[in-house]
Amino acid sequence: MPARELSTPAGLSEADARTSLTRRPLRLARRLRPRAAWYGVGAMAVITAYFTLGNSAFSLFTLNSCLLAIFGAVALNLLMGTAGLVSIGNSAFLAVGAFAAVFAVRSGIPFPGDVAFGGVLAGLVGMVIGLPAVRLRGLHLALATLAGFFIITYFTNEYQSNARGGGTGGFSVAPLFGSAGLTGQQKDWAWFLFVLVAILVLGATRIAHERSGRAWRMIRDHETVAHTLGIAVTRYKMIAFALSSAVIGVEGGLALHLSGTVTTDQFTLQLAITYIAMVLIGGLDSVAGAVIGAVLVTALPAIVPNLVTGLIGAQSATSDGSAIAEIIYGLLVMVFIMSSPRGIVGLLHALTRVSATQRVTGQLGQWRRKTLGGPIQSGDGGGSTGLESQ
Amino acid sequence: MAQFLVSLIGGFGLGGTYALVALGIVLAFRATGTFNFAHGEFMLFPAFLIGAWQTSHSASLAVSVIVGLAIVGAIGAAFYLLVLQRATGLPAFMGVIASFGLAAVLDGVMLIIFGSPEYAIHFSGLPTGVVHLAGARFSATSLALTGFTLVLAAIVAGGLRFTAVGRRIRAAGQDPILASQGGINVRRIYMGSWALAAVLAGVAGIAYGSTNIVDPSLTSVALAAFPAILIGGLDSIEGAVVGGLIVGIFQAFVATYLNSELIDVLTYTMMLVVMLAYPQGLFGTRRVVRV
Repeated sequence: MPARELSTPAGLSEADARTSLTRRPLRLARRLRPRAAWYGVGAMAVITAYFTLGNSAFSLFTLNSCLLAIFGAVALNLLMGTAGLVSIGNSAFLAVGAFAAVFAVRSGIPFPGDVAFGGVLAGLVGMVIGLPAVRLRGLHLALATLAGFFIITYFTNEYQSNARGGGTGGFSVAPLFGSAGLTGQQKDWAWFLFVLVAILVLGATRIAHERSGRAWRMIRDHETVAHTLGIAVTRYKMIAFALSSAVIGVEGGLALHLSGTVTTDQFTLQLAITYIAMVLIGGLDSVAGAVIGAVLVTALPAIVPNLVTGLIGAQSATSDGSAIAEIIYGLLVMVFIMSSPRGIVGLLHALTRVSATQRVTGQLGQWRRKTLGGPIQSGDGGGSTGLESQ
Repeated sequence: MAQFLVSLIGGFGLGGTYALVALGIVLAFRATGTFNFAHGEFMLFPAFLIGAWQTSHSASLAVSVIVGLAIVGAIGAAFYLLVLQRATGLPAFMGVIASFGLAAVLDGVMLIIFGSPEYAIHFSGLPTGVVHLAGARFSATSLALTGFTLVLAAIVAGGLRFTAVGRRIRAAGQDPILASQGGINVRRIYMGSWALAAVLAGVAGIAYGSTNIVDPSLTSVALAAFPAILIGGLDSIEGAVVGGLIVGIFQAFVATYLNSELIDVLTYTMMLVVMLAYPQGLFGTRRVVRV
């Protein structure tokens, strides 16, 4: 499908931009989505304010878990959705971030420094794990990152069982904002995480719509063509792996400080798959989709027991609630693959036909018809899902 | 010498299980291009069912084996019919993610039905006692099961190569359009492949569970079969059996001579090396990337 890139204006290659007779549509597209990101940040601020005005420690904790999950989902979306590099080893980077932070704290580096150290180390490890991506793609790359997951898990296990104060219980550090009391601590965390998430979302949106985002999409859709356009394919792949792993590592460090404890048992393959599900349910190659997916998938286990209490009674709701949440989450994944491979965001686009992106797409279609006489790609397009088949 | 023999025969036992698991995953992969991450759940379900019914004495062993395998086969076929068939035309990795979804659903369902128990499956018909061989002692049960899994893997691989049905399955996997022109009902073959894959997983789960303990961690055996598949070649039936044996024997030797904590990391490192050096594996089809 040569016309596929036209389905999203941001998917235009640099060469298209250079040869274009009028740059107006492109500039419009570039400005558009970041503005939507500001609206999204505003909405998140309202939600955070709503929950921090309440006094339920449990819903605040759920909110904080959601905010934390947004880190991983946005990072994975950059790697998987935008750059098309499938990774199922991402919970290992959470482990790297958390354990590096433990190491830093024990070496006497105070709070922001240890999380940053975790992020940097996770980014470096991510680059190493991403090395096979130079040669492998699709399923093979996914399995290579799976191998990376097991290798990293081995080292974190070794660290945990051999380091002083480790053992099966893992490590514990003094939780941050612990002096504010149970609810107060969660409130402080909510605002702290909100600020970080806002920076992350705005930054990720910007990156995805600038030169690197276009390069990643070009690599995703036509790797060989990307070479001929002068895109440094290997370097961009490495940057994608390093950036996303670093953000996931920061999430790991923050999670350590939120809960105060960490063990290797937390970082399972299921956790990694959960993040893939977030990105997929929300919508591949969409920062907003990653945020929505992260919130939905993370909040599901907290919401479902309350929802099903009326149906199956309070007792079985508490005992089977998490299992039911897991079933719903699995079904959601399958339903979205069958009905809307572009996730919730794709669904919203399909529902609101005259969305802003569409208008630009329409303009691009007219522009292409006039200048090139080429085929017209209409609608939001069931276009690229970001994952090349084998 | 005795230690060597124990590792070798133990490796064949483990390798037989891996071969069955890998055969199932390769069959499903050849049918729909989907690498099945729910295979561990396919293994666990019949083993749980047999364990539960054996504990409560609610059905004879033969009945519970048949019912367990029938249910899991039906789940495999239903997954193809309801999900994968509708995902036709999407990038291949979407099917893989759908299998993550299936795994989550099955995990949840099994948690509700069975909880997280630990069962020990006993087969009354199998020989018991200890066999002495070149100075080493083996349990007769595990030797019998090793023989059974190896023979079954060989029968399935041979059947796929030499029988008419097997030829159809291979043809439909190689080129669906040409196969359908040749009068093969490709959809039915795919559905059958998925059902057979799930049943093979179930058999592997039961065989593994009757020499070890059945608990939710059984699903990780399917993960350990991934290196077997990639070493043998992703789309090769013979490769699945050979790869399964290689990985099984390798792991048994690592456990004996090095350290059992190193099993995972070394197996996956081996897989990584094979993948980078020979991406098509030992018997797989070499894929040419064209633009």
